[in-house]
Amino acid sequence: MADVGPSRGPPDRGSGPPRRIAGSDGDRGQLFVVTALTLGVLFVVLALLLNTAIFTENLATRSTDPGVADAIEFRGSLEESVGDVVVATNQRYDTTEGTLANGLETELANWSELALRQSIADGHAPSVTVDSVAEWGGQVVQNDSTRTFTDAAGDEDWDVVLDAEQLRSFNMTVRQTGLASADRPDETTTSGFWVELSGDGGDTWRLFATDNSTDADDYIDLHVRTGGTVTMCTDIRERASIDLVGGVANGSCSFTSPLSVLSTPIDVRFVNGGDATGRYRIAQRQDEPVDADGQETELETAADFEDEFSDPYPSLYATELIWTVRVDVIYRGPDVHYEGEVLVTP
Amino acid sequence: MTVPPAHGSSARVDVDGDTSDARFAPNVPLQSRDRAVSTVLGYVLTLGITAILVGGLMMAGGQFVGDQRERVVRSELGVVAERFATDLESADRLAAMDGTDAVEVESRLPARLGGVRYAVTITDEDVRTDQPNTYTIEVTTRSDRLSETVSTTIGLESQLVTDTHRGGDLAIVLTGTGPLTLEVQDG
Repeated sequence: MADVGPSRGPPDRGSGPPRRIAGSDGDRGQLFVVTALTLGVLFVVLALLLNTAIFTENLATRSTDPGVADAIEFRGSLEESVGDVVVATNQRYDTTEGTLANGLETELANWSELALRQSIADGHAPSVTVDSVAEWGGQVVQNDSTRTFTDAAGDEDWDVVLDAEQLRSFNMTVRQTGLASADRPDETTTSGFWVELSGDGGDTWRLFATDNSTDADDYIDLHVRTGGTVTMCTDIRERASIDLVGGVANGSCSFTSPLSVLSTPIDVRFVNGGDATGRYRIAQRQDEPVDADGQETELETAADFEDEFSDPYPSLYATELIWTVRVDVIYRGPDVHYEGEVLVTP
Repeated sequence: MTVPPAHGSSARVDVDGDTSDARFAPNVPLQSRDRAVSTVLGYVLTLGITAILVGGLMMAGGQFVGDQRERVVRSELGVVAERFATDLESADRLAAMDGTDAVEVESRLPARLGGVRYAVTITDEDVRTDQPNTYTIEVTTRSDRLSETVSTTIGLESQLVTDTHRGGDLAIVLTGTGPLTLEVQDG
């Protein structure tokens, strides 16, 4: 390597200043300086490249979703969550179409506010508003558990719903009080209460509720007969909560759902309704001509019900029902903006 | 390389104790000239060899840095192409949902790759692939010193407006719903 030590120069001959070799003293380190600077620049560039490479690997392993998955998930969840709002609105504001529509706007605004509060922490700002009610249905409600399953005029055998194209829910609670006893109930021998659903092809589905009480306790037996098969739910204490559409009694005993064996339209009929007491709610939709407002109208069996505006509050009535609602969705995320319209059918 | 010592080692001591340098002795005039020549030659050789070594080091270092840079840029081009293609597919998923009115997805991409600007080009590949709404995303460096291109092919449900965009943040916007049309705009 080049000598970078202090210059020693030629020996003193005894007179005059020490002799210097041109370019060998102060200039000696220039090569090193240039080299060092060049190498320094190379190292800096290399460090920058290394940094870029690391950034590239980092970029490659980051989530590739700009937030679209959240937007799609939110939109998908609307069907269920707004569906629940619609169901609750139908039950709470079950009077007129106007009341139902206004009630839905109020309830959905409340829900949207809650959704916004939950989402804002994650950087999302969703908004859901009612655009319009796309389809109307009808609901039959008996809300007095001591009332019999007769119509408003007291007829025990009557058609509750005729020509239902869709049956969304059919929930009933039957009390033991008044039920007839029968070991093997069927439509030819039983004088007790049963529910009969008839499909378009003439197929039927029947549910018989009978008393099976002992001296000690009150029990109810349920027999479901359809297409030659019988399913029994026995020893239900005091009152039976039955989800006919879901095919389950008291949450544990399963039976064949009428929707799985009957073709639409479906008629719903109560037979010997005077022998049973309890509540029920049926949500259904009929293919009826629309009225001037473009909305489907009354139940064909409307005459069998009490006036929904009667005073005191009616215990058996039929009203409109929001079947399908069209909602406007706006979703704002850090990198995503989405606007759309969603049809929600509970 | 051996450079004769300029002084010291060849000093001699007289019998009376005086010291004197051999170079100034009257009987060695040629040695003095040789020493001057060998000193200069020594420096020249030292500096020359050092310059060759340093030059070689710099050339090798420069080549190494250049190679690394190309590799890094090529790698990052691929990452950017895949990320942008994914963002396009995400926007397409949103746009294809029933009832969609408006979609805007921000694609966050770096403005430079390894210090080099780049361009994103969307090309329609329907004819070549015989598949509708098939597009090639080409990411190309915009530099005279470095020319690299990486491409990837995607299939969408929406139509995509073909164009070339400067590298950096881009916005994917739904501009038509019948038929579904996505357009990339500079973010």
